[in-house]
Amino acid sequence: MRLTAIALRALFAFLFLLLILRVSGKRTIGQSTPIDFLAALILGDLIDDPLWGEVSAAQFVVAVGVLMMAHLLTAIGSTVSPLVGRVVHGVPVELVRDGNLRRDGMRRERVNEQELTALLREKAIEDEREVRTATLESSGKLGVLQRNWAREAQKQDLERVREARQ
Amino acid sequence: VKAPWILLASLIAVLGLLAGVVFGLDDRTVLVPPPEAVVESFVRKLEMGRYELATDHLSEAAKQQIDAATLQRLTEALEQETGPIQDVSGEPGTMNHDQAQASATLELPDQRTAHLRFSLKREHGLWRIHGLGDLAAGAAS
Repeated sequence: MRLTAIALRALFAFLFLLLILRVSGKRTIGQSTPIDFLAALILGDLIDDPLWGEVSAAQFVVAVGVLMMAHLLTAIGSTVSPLVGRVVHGVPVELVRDGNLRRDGMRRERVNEQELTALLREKAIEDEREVRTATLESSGKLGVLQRNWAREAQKQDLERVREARQ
Repeated sequence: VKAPWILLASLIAVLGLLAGVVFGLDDRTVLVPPPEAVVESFVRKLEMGRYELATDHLSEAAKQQIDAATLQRLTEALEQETGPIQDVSGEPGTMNHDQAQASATLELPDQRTAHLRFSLKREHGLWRIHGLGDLAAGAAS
């Protein structure tokens, strides 16, 4: 297979995907929700075929176009309708509240205690008692809010101490 | 909500550009699969037993004469002669405006190889297999 043809196809695929990603927004790159992840996954697989000349550029454009259009319309649908949003993205699940493990949420998301501890350690939290809420977000990432006494001291805390002393 | 319309307009513009390159500039190997890629894909489908899908690579005229059952019969006859096909790679051949020839190199047991030549024809900008050549003649070389 001629190398110049491969180079031209690669250049075309790169420029086309760049255009599509710029037009359809930054969400796909962020992979912050299941549909973004799904779109990125399929997009990653689709690029292979036109590069080696297995499908025509037009077939590639139509496949990517339909995928991105579906992604965009789903994203718009979930913004407009909370119901569509829940169906597409799922709902965040609380795993810790006020220092106590939420076993129901952990069972639902199939997260065991060791995994939860590891996820909290990634957030520099050693003990779940420090946690006000730990929520498994739709993105699969753990969102953590610490209890007031466990939070690192801020500048405003120092000011409060000063005021109390006076 | 503007984004879907911008996306749709971009897609139409890119498809228009592609049509211009393929039909206007007569691109036959860059933005459309070249003859050797078509031949490779066709033989891979035969090797995997996906005869119905393989007929998609045939030209309109060839489709009138060759159906999935014919492809199955020819492939089975070939494999009886050569042994099971282990891998396929397309090799470029000659190209003359809307006609081309390309071959598939078959990797066979005991490090043997065989070649199948096919003739192709361009339809609607895409290369299609017009004649089964060696496969129909039962003469892999």
